[in-house]
Amino acid sequence: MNSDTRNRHNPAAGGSGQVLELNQGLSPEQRAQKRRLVRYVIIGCLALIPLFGYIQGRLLIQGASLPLSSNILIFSLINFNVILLLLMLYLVLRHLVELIFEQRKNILGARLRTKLVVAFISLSLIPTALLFFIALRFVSTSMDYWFNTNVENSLQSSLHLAQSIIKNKKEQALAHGSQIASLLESGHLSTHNLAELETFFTMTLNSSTAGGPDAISLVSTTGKRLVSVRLSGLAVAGLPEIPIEPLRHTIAGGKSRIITQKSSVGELVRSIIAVSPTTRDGNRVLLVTTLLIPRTQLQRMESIMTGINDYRQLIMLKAPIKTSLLIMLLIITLLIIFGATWFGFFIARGITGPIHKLAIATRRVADGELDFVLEKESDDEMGLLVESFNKMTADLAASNHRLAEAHDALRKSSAVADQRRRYMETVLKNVAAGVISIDEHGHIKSINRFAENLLRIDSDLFLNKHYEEALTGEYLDILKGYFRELHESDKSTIERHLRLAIGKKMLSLLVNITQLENDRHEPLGYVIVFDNLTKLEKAQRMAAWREVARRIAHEIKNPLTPIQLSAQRLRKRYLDKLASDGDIFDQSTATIIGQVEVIKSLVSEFSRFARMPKIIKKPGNLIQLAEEIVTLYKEAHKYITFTLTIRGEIPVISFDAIQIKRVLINLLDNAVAILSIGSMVEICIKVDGDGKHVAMAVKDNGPGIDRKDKLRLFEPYFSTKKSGTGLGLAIANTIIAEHGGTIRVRDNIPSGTVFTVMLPIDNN
Amino acid sequence: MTHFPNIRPFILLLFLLLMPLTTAAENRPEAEITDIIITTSNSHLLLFSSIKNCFTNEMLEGIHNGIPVTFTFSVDLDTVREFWWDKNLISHSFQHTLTYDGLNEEYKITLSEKDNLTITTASLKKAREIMVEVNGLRVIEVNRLVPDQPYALRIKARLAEKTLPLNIHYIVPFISLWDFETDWRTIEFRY
Repeated sequence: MNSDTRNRHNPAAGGSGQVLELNQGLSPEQRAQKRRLVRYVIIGCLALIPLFGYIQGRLLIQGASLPLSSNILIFSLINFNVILLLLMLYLVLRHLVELIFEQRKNILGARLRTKLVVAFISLSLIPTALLFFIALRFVSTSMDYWFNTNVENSLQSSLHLAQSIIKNKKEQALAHGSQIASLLESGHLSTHNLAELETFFTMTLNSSTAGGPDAISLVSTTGKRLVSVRLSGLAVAGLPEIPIEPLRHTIAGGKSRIITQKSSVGELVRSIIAVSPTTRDGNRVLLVTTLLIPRTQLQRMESIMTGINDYRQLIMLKAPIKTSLLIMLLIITLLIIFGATWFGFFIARGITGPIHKLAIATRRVADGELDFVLEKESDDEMGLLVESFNKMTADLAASNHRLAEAHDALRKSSAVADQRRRYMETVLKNVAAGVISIDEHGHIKSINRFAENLLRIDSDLFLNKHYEEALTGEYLDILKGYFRELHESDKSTIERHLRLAIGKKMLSLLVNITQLENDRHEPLGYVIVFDNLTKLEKAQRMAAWREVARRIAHEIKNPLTPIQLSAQRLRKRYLDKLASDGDIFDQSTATIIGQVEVIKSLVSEFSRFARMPKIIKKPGNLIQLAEEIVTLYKEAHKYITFTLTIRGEIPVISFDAIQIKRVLINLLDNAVAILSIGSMVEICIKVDGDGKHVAMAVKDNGPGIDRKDKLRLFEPYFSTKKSGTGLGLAIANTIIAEHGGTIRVRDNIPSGTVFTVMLPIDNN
Repeated sequence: MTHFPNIRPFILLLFLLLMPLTTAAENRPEAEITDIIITTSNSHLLLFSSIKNCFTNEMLEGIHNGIPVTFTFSVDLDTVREFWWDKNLISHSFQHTLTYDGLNEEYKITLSEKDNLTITTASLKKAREIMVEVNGLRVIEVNRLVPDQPYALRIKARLAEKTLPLNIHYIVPFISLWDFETDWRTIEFRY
């Protein structure tokens, strides 16, 4: 069962080519098992045939009297029959087993094949069985008919007739012989006078009527023929010698004896009678009277005899012949049935084989295996079908190949595009500017991470929404204003500076809005890019203020000392002298000196601000530092309640103790300055929620700070106090910023303000 | 795993087919060689023996229906040797054939060991006697025998009728009317 398909383009699929074998669906183990089974059956047959040969030989050879050619013929016939029977049996069994296997495995075509085989078996079985039984009946009745008793009776009668003829002849021979013998014994004729005897015998023969003797002889006791006379019928053939044995028996025992002898003219019936002459000189002699049964008559009788013998033998053999005929009939019937069954298998395979292969091939095509060719076995419709199928699979394979190529190209370009997109996304995500894209319909398409962090928004709430839905209030107005401005400007991009309050932070942004167009100048939407200028502006402002402070300190401080010294000299010299205007003078000079002092301290502050010392950080105890300051303030401001709260374990952090002390003092000074009697100030130190900062909050229950003022609170020279320089919080902010931390302000609830200093725990 | 179709019907069928071959030899007493006498004449070693239970009614019926019956006798004389195979001195095979002449109602027996001597008799009894008897078969010349040497004489007879009447055996190979075969009878003696 060779594979009828071959793989052309897929050497790796060589193994799967076996799948299209007839015993499809069987694993290699099962196929090997099947082959073994077939082998066992063949070996069994090979063993059985010699066994049968041996049995037959044993039964048949016993005769041995048979000619060799007959033996060979019998052996050949029997062995041929048995071999054929076994072969057919084997074939049928093998195919039956195969069919059972296939049906169990639900192999394609097995059902159709079963139906065909059953149809063939039925078609052959019914007429064969019918014929068998009719033949059986026919043989049986025919044989009974042939061996009719009437036939036997008539044959038996014929035999009796023949026997009676012979018997009659014998009796005649004896009667004639006895008459002559009595003549001889009575002495009427002398046994010595042979011539006379011969004449007498001749006369007797000639005068005898039909049924009379044909020859008369006189024989001595030693068998010597004394006288012999015969009719012309026996003249040519002559008379055979009398066997010595009957002669002896006649002499010894009986008076007469009848024998039959064959001769060329027929059968001779001879009576031998012992003659004992009464005369003294008469010797004992034997008279032989011969009657001839002519050959033609004898042949007829023999044919009657042969006929009845044959008939009787046939009767004897009737039963075995019948049995043998039935056996042969049975063998032939079985051969026909097995042959028809096998032929049924053969035809079924011829029909279902190509269908099965085609079905398997279709399944393989359905499974996507397009690179094989179904072998064309015939030029009939099946061949045409196979050809069409092959063309179809080839076309499918070709289009599949083209499709795969296109798919591959598409996949590659998609991968490139995807890679590019991911790269752009990564760039956008990591660029230090906020980027927001809006499509031509106004839907927000992307918000990068910088923008998310800066604007503190969750992009999921904005993406794919129209900007008019996503934004509200002043933000929407700002964006709309920009778009309007962009359209009116007739440019593709505009750049604007924007100050925007996000939560409690005021941001300074440089916003760039660009209208996107494709190659055909069709609008694709907008991209909004914004830079955070807040820190930059702050730093610039700080630097400018430092410069101003340095110049003021330099320009103002120098004339102050002479002014103060001059005022002191005037006071010293003229206070006593100007008695009438002494009070005025005293007051004026005191004011000049006092105000100069104030100006000096102001200038000193400026100078300190301008020359902020470099921070020297060391690991220190923040709690101890806070306790020291709280103790000082408790002493100085007894009308205010100061409390220090430590929450949790505070780790040791590195900081510049002097500078931090200054920050704390600035904060407490600010608080104390606005607090009235009975107010409370709480300093709370704890580790921040993220675990990376130590938070030091200064809370008061004072009047609080306006929202507007909060935005500028940490700018230099901003003060809500009349006597404040406006540098305290600016210095504090600078110190904390240089520590890597932040300082924030918020409202205390229900009233007051909270300044929170955040110092990083790991701030090496 | 593998399920063979039931093969018992096929075995039964084969058995039935072979049945006629095996039934022929049933239901009859075993034929045997009896009355073995070995003696010597002046010149030869003579053998006398007979067969018992060899004639059946079917056989006699067959004879009367004109079927000739032939008994084949086999006689072997061996020199008995110790520690070695016996040496065959001489082998005889001869036949007694009995036919019936239905016209004359007499039996004819032909003895091949006596130069095909034909004996005719009307008596069935006598004919049977002549058929079964081996009467003074000259086995070997006495001068070929060594005094005091042990010898073994083996004899058996068989009848295997193969040539059926009317050449029926050519078309019906399974039939055998009557068969018999005696066992070898062995007589050991010293000359």
